[in-house]
Amino acid sequence: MEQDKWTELINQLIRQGVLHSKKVKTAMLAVPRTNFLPEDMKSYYASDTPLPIGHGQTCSAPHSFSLFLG
Amino acid sequence: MVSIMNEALELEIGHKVLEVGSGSGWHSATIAEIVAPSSTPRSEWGCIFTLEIIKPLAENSRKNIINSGYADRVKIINADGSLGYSEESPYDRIIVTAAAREVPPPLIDQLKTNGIMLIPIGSASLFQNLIKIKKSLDGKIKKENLGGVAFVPLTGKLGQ
Repeated sequence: MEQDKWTELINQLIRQGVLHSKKVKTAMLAVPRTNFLPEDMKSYYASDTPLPIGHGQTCSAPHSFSLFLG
Repeated sequence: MVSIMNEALELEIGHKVLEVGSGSGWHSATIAEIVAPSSTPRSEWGCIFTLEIIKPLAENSRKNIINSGYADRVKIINADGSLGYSEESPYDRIIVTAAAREVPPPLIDQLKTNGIMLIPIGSASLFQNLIKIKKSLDGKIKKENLGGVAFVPLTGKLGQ
């Protein structure tokens, strides 16, 4: 179930034209943000926004990171 | 703007990648899936060196990388990323996930010929242009503007 929300987000990035490459899609699907977020942020992992990770820094919004990878 | 982009970083299996700004470690784990996918033999794997200036974040991202099974492909270093990491240079790809006023010269030096670097260039006030830099065989630098992005400022000696 959890994985489905992530898959949905990745498919949205493809529809928006942010994510082009099959290779990048496969990689992003394989690594949901969940395992990289503080406990209190985990439930927001599949929203396309930056999330605070402490010390004034954020975990990038999935669309921003997609811009780098294609 | 950015929707016309095509695989900005052009990552391939076997690439050695430098990331400036580890953050949570999520970027480097995802990059590992491209340059060193579990489905290919280890002998063909590339690797990622990622620099994080904030010590507790470096420790936390290291923990995340270990727990999610990428410690054999991703190395997190608590260091000033604006200076790059000459110990392992040159790199096929360099990705900077914080905004600089101008490209820190050590990062250009540490890029391989035919290498690609992506770096947000602009003010610290959350608006920058994502610049793609290619280093040609004769050492010349070609810059391409990929459009507007919003990143936190690059800190450190050559940051802003």
